[in-house]
Amino acid sequence: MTLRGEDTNGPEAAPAMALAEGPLFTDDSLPIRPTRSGLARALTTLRRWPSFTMGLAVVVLIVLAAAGAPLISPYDPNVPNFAQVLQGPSWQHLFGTDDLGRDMLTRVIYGARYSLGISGTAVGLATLIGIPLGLFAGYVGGVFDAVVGRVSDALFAFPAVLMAIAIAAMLGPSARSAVIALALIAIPEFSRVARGAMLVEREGTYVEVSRTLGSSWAFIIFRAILPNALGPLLVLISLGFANIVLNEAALTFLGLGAQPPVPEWGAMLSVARRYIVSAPYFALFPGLAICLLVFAFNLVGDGVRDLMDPRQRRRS
Amino acid sequence: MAKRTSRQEYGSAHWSAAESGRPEAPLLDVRDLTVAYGADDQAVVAVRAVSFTLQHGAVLGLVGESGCGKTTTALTLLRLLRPPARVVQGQIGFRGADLLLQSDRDMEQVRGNRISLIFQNPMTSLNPTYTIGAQIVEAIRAHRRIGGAEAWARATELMTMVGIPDGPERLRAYPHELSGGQRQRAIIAMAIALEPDLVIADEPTTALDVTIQAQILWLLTDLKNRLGMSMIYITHDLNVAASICDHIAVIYAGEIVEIAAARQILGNPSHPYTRGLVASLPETSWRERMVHPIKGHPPIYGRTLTHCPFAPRCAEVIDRCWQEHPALLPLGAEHAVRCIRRGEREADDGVH
Repeated sequence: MTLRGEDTNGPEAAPAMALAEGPLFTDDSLPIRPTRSGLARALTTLRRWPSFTMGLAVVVLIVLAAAGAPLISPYDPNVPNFAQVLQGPSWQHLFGTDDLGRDMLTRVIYGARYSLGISGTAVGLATLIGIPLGLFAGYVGGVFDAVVGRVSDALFAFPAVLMAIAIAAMLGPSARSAVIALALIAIPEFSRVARGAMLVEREGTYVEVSRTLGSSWAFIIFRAILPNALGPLLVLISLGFANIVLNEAALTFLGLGAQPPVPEWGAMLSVARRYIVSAPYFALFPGLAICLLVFAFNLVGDGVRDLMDPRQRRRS
Repeated sequence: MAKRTSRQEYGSAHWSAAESGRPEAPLLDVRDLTVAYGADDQAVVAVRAVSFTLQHGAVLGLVGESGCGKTTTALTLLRLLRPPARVVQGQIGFRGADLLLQSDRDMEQVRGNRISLIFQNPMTSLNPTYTIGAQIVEAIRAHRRIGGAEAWARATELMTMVGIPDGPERLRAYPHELSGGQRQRAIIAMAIALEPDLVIADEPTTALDVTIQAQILWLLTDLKNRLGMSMIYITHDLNVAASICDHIAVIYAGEIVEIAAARQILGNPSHPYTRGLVASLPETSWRERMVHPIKGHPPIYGRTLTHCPFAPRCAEVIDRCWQEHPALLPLGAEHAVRCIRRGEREADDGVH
């Protein structure tokens, strides 16, 4: 420390501290960088991560197709046409027809509605219930955390199919049962990841500062900590979505989800199984659709994870 | 534990500004504060029977080595301790109420509003996902029901008060866009936003370079004078403490070993530890071009302490130092010391 003006002759003379007087201006200002607009930075990100971009594009396309199904489908998904049963792809029926002569392209497009709808609801429930639960449990710890943890462990022990069978047995097989089963499987996983993220962020100095300022626990958890924990949570939601879509198709395949004549991909696969030798095209397109959607979500999830990785930080 | 001795000598040695001719009630009146970590038998005592008062508008320095209990004391004042730390005994009188008896919700009203705390590391003290304007506004709206625009205006005012140039634009900056000195200023802005009665600064300049340190010290003094706040300034640097504190309490192993006016501590240090600290200042020995540290390292003591805490490292230790725990006794006006070889009970040297 060399802020001095006076001489000192040893411990007897009280050294006087000469403080810097005058203006408080810091001369260590960093120039205020003109930040590029959010849009410009987003576009750069997309360009640099082609797999993420592709995955995102596919998801968006499928969502749009599902939303605009009545507009873009050439036929009605439910009207049978017994003259054209089990046809392969042709100019009239790009994806062929099913065992009742219904156009497969139409049914696959409408199927997106069910897959996205059911999975999306389950993901939404898991996010809105599981994440706050996990965050809160991670923050307060103690008995609450222990109880939530044990209940989660119990739910984790059930495979999705078993859970779906149990719920279908109670409520009857339907889209709603599938949503409940999928959500019950997903909530413990979501809460566990959220809890982990909270345990990391909880120790940050800024959290202590927030407490020092007198902020309430609700503010601290959801306004101060949550934005910092967003990384793993976004990855969780994307990859979780992929998983849930797959599980949902499996449930309908087994007859535990939406019931026929609903044009759901898993249900279509279940019927197509019987015709796999004689009309392989029947199973091909719903199967491809499931693969595509799941793969796209996986790409998005991987991309988000890479983006959040601090080693990949780049100047914008 | 030194319970007996501290209670007995409370009346005479309790450092009180009443002696310096200011009869009004102190802002902060800490008595016998004892904080321990861990369960009873293996408890480690971090703060041992610490007592001091603080008047309105005064600055008290808490000086000591790392790990001597200064930060724990500060956290205890705001009831921010987490288990396994616990307050074993004591009273924290603040504006007439005992802070140790308040509920959590009441303490939330105190924190930031009546007493605020400035942390050591400005690099991590700010939330990286919000602009500093948003965080200052958070500090304001935690305790005042005012609209967003009004809060933002107040935040701009605060930025100017703490000397950050281009206040309004800076408000929209993120913490990583600011230098360390500016971040600390932003944190100071948050700490004074509601004009608290007491600001506790826990080594606010340790993480900053020396020129910035000087500016921050000047800023804190200026703000204290302008807003009429009291301050507790925690540091390990005696020079810094002397420059802005009215009184300094030297802490060793969780106990106050000497407490006096700042000029006294530097000019006429009494306790061997204080003398060692003063001697180890580079300025003191600059002619010799050598620095004289105090040999050894700070200890950690448990529940019962039956000897002087500094005995293992003291250059003036005698047998008696190991046999009794010294009390904090006055050494004259505005000066108290915890050493059996000083103070009014001056024994003859060499008596065993």
